[in-house]
Formats: sequence, C-alpha cells, structure tokens
Amino acid sequence: MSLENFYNFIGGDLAGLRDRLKTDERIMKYIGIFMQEPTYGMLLTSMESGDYKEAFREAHTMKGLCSNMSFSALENASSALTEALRPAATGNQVCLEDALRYLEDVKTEYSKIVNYDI
Amino acid sequence: MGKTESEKQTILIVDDSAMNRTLLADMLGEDYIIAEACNGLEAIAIMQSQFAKISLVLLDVAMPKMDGLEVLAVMNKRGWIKDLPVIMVSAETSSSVIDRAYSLGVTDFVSRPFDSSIVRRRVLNTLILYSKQKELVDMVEDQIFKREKSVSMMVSILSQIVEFRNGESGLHVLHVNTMTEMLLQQINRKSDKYNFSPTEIGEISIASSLHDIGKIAVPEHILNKPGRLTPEEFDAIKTHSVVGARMLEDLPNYKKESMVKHAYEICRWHHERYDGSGYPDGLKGDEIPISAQVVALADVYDALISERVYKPALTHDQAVEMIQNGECGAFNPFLLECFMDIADEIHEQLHISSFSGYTLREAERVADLTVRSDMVGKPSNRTLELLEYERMKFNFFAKMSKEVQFEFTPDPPIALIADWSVFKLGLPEIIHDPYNNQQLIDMFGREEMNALFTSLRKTTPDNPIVEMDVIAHVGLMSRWFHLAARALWVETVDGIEYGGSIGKLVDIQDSHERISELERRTMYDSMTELINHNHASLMVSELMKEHQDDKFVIIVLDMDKFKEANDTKGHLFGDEVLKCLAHRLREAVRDSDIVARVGGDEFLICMKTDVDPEPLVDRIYNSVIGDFEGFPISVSMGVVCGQGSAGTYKEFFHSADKSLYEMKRAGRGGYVFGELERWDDNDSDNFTVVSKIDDIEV
Repeated sequence: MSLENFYNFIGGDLAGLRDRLKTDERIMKYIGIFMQEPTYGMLLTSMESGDYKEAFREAHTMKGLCSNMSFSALENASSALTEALRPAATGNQVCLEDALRYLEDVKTEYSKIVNYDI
Repeated sequence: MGKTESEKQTILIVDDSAMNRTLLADMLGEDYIIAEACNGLEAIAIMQSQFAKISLVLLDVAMPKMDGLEVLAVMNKRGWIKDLPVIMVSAETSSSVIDRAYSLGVTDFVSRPFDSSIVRRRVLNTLILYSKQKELVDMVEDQIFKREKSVSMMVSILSQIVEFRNGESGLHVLHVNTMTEMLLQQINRKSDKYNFSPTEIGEISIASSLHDIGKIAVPEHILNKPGRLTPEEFDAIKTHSVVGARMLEDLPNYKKESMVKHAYEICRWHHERYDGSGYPDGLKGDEIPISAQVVALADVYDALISERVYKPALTHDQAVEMIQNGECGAFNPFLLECFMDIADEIHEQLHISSFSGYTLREAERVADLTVRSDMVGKPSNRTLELLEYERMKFNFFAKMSKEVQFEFTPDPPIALIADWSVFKLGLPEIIHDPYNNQQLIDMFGREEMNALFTSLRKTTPDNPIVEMDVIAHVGLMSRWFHLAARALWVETVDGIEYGGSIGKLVDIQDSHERISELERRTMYDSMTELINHNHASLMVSELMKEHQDDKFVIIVLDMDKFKEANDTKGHLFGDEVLKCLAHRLREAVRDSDIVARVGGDEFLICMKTDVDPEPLVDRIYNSVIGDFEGFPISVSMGVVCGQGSAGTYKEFFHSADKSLYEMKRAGRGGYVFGELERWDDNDSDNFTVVSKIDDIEV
C-alpha cells in the first residue's frame, strides 16, 4: 500500500509523522498495531452502556493514539468527543446530543481507516 | 551506544494503552531497560518494590484505577518525587491539569504526538540533570565534610598547645567538647526555651575547645604549681578568662562570626557561677550566656574526674555528688537536671573519647547536619545500594521459605503478594483494596478477612503481631495455613499511625492433618473404629447435660464365651468376631446414637429416645446375635433407663454394668433391665471395682 494514498484518504499528516517516527517501516508497524488496538471497541461499549466517565477516558486515549499516528481527522473527531464527555470525568452531566453526534464522526473516520483496502 | 545490561538505566512507562507503551519503548531504543505499568496502582506497586532500580518515570494522565495526578500525589506523600524524576506523557491539553502536574513535581511534559527525537532528548536531559544534581550533592557533602574537618583540626591543634603548656592530658578539650554537645542536645530535648539548631550546637561545641586559650598568657610555673596557690598566683590564673576573651575580640577578621561570638562568651564567662559568685564579672543567673553555663559545668566535671598536679582523679560518682551538692559553685538548676538525666551516658562517652573517635564523631555530626538541614528524608546513593542489597537477600530467603508473603499499605490500599508456596494460591501479585477483594474473600472468608483487619489495627507498637490459622479455598481444594502478620506503626507529627502490615502464610496442611490424625487416634478404638470409652463418657455426659429432661437408654453388653473364640480359632479370628459385633451394633442403632468399645469384648450403647425401651432393646439384641463364620455370637446386656438429670454418666454406666453382671450370673445370652443407682461422689471407687469383677469370664 502507498502510505501517501492512505493518509490522503483518511485525512492525515504523513509528512509530520515521517518527521517524528523516522522510518516508513516503523509507521507501517504502528498502523498494524492500531488496527488491533482495543480502545475503539471499548469506547463503543461504554457509550452504549451509558458509562460516560469510562467513555471519556477511552475517547481521550483514542485522541492520543491518533495524535501519535497523525490520523488528524479521527483525532479531531475524538477530541471533540473527549471535550463533550469531559464533564463526566468529574461526575457531571454530559450533553448527550453533542456526544452522540461526535461519536458518529468518530465512527465514520475510524471505519475509513480500518476499511481502507490494502 | 552499546551499553551493557548493568549500565542501562531502567525507565518505567505508565500508560493504559499498550500501543503507547510500545511506541515509547520503541522510541527510547536499546539504551534503556523498560518496565511497564498499565495503570497508576500498578505503577505505585512497581515503584515500591523496585525503587532503587528505576531512574525515570514516563507517566500518562488519564488512566483507569488511579490516574497520573494521583500517582504524583502518592509519590509526594512518600517523598519519592525528589529522587525519581517524572516526565508526563499525555494528550492532555487542559492547562489546569498541566499546572497541577508541575506543582506536584514533574520535571517535564511531553505532549502528543510523540516525536522520537524529542522523547529521547527529554529523557536523556532529565537523566543527566538528575545525575548532575546527585553529583553536586555528593560534592557539596564532600566539601562540607573536608571544611568541617579542617576547622576542628585547627581548633584541636590550638587547644592542644594550651593544654600542653597546662600539663593536662590533652583529652580535657575533647571531653569538654563532647560533654557540651551532649548537654546542648539534652537541653533541646527537655525544653523549647533555647531551640538550638544543629549548626548552633556544632558551633558552640567547637567554640568550647577554646575556653582556656587565655592561659597562654599565664606563666607556666604558676599553671603547673603542684602545691597551694598564693592569692596573687590565683589572681594571675583568673586573668585567663578575660585574656582569652580579649584575644578573640582583637581578631582582625571573623569577629562577627557566630562561632567567634560563642567562643568569646565561653572564654570570658566559663568561670561565672549561677549565684553570682564567679569571676571575672560576677554575672548572675541567666545574665551568663547559656553557652558559657554549659561549658562551665563540663569544665568542672572533667576537672574533677581528671588527675591534676594539685589533685588526684575522682570517680564519676564522687564528681556527680560534689557538683550536686554545690561544692564546685552554683549551677543553673535546669542545667543540673539535664546533666543528671544524661550523667551515665556522659560517663560512658568520655571513657571512650579519643582522638580518632573525635574525628569520627565530628564526621557523623557533619553528615547528620548535612542530611538533616536541607535534605530531609533524602536517601543517599549508599542507602539505596544497601536497600537493593537487602532486597536481594530478602528475595532469596523468601524464595526458600515456601511461604506466601505479603505487604500492605493502607493509603492507597494495595497488597503486594509473593507466593513461594508449593501449592500456589493463584493470587495476583498486586491486589487493590485487598480487604474488599472478592477473590481473597472467596478464598479465606469474609469473617476471617474482617478479623485480620480489626485485630491488626487493635495491636500496639509494642505488641504488633497477629497470628491465626485460616483455611484457604482454592478451587475444590482447601488447605490450612498459619497466618502471621505484623502491623507497621509509624510515627508522624500527629502521633503514632497505622502504616500497613507485612505478613506471611505458612502451609500447615500436613502438620494439621497429622494433628487431626493424632486427635482421631485418641478418640477412636483402632480395631473396631468405634469411639473408645474415654471419649464416649465425655460425649454421653455432654449429651445428658444438654438434654436433662429427655430419656436415655444406656446399654452395657459383653460377648459370651469370647475367650473360646480366641482359644479355639486364634486371636486373629477373635479380632474378626469383635469387628463383626461392632459392625452389627452400629447397624442396629441410629446414627445419632453412641456406640463405643469399652474395652476387651465389652461395649456401650447410649440412646436418647422417647419410645418404650423394651422392644427397642429386644430388637438390638436380636440383630446382633447369630453365627459368624461358624462361631455363634451371643451377648449379655445390662440396661438402665432414666432422664438426663437422673444421674451422672458414671452412675448410669455402673448400674448398667451391674445389671450385665447379673445377666451373666443368670446364665448369659439375654438382656436385663436394672435400676439406676445413685452414689456419693466420694464413693467413686465402686466404678473400678465393678468393672474389675466383670473382667473375669465367669
């Protein structure tokens, strides 16, 4: 697969990533690891069961992972979701409407990455 | 860079995402040993068990169980943050979190996305910074040590000169020095009035060495005159206090130094007395600086116990008595109290004081001072090495012990478990909140866990050990363990506080089984496997006591012509007959009834029943008699009935036994009911007599 095409398709910053991780080989390795990573599944489960405190943490982790991989579009969506869920971290009410809307964005961007035809 | 394993530093990466941990480890490369923790609790546990090994922590903020900020709080509380640099690694952009992390002592912040060169650089910088700081601390310690050493060296040379002229032993200055320091420390312990700092104590002690420098100006023939001094000669000697003080006053430099000030006070006023009777100024009470008061006392004491040209040495006890009685002038009563408190220690210390010991003590004091003043609780590299050594030793012995060992800290509640047992309990190494942990509760039981929890907290620092036997349920297996735990009481500013516990579980299943086997053997007859008479008497007595209003039937029975079975068919056959009879008896009654072998071929049955006993006894009789491999089993039975409260076990047994005897005399092979006979307690010999008669086969 061409990393350029992949990053173009999913909306990511390949140049920045190459700067940080140095080799394409390493980048490929971590894309592979990302695909196996359980955070996304855990995030969906927590959202479904209404555990927003847990979901906040997972969205936060997702944001960090994307940031590391320069998956900018998914990072932005995860970041928006993280902020929408942040009140739950301190036991406050979250605006569910916003959270669910951002969750849809996360789902869209995530599926672009995992379904990319290699 | 090609470092060997032992040169590599260990970095602890704490992040809940395995991918992040791998990425960071990958970026750091081969130059470090990586330890990983997936949440804050695990991180704390690893730091606790391997503190000396870890050089740096990379810490995420948002994590389950315990987040990064809580980890920092614990590290602050335990004083780890000073020795273990932490770099936060986080996607966290909220400035309040970042601020809080910095205020909790993190060294640096690496935000996402991770850049491999930045991560490497920051880690390296932090490590270098910390090792530089450690080096600097070592250097400063070294410098202070050297400087203090030369100061005390110069002072002792100077005072040595004075003493040499004085014809004194040379130890006088050392003794005064030692005693001054000890007295000042005792004053601090006893009262808040002066609150000497460690530096001040050091300065006053060193300055005390100069108390007699004025004697340089006193002619030698007067100083060393063996006989009584004339008033003029005595006046000449007295000048040494003022002369010494003036010498210090006239110093071109340093006269504003606090040590010189102390030395001035000491020189001028160490012959003043509390009641104003001293010289040169006749100061009274607290007009005399405390430093001079202390040195005066030390000077007098050491002069008394030392030999001088004009006097022999006195004993410690004589010296103390003279000072107490005011024979050497009046002293501050509070100071005298302090002196009396530590008189024995002083005696001992002065005895061992020598020049080499002096330097050593100085060094200890300096080291103490350095550590105490700015680096409270900071362990030196040497301490950490020792700690590591101890841990190695501990691990070895732990492994050999075959025990399950644990450490518990209450805040946060974490138990560390090391399982060296042969039958593994299968517990995780780290358990959060163990007293509410389901696995532990399932294994040992809620009540046992609560009992341990409360009894540990009920212990005292003097008696902190709790011991109990517990059963551990592992799957379908259960094993006995002996649990020994020790509460750790720690001193804090608010008093003594519970700081957790350490303990071990020793597998005692085997010895427990041996003991139960022994217990079983003392209760059961090994041949028939019925209970023995001793145990039966206890059981029946207990039963009767519990059911005083219920009716009991006691049967004592004996096999007829048993001797014949033994004689004609051999003892082995005889044993088989007994076993058969025992079996038939057991079968003939309910499980709740008691059947025992009294001895030989005599048996006992005890039943608690409401029904008419006659048909019951008849049924039992008929079901036990009959042929056994060609030998006709025939029995004689004596029966007694009565309420539980009607008599003692002995009385029931004796009466039934007596009826049995009657049955034997009447021709054997049957049963007879007898009356319960009461007897006086002091007549208990009957019991044995009847049994003896019965032992004879009629």
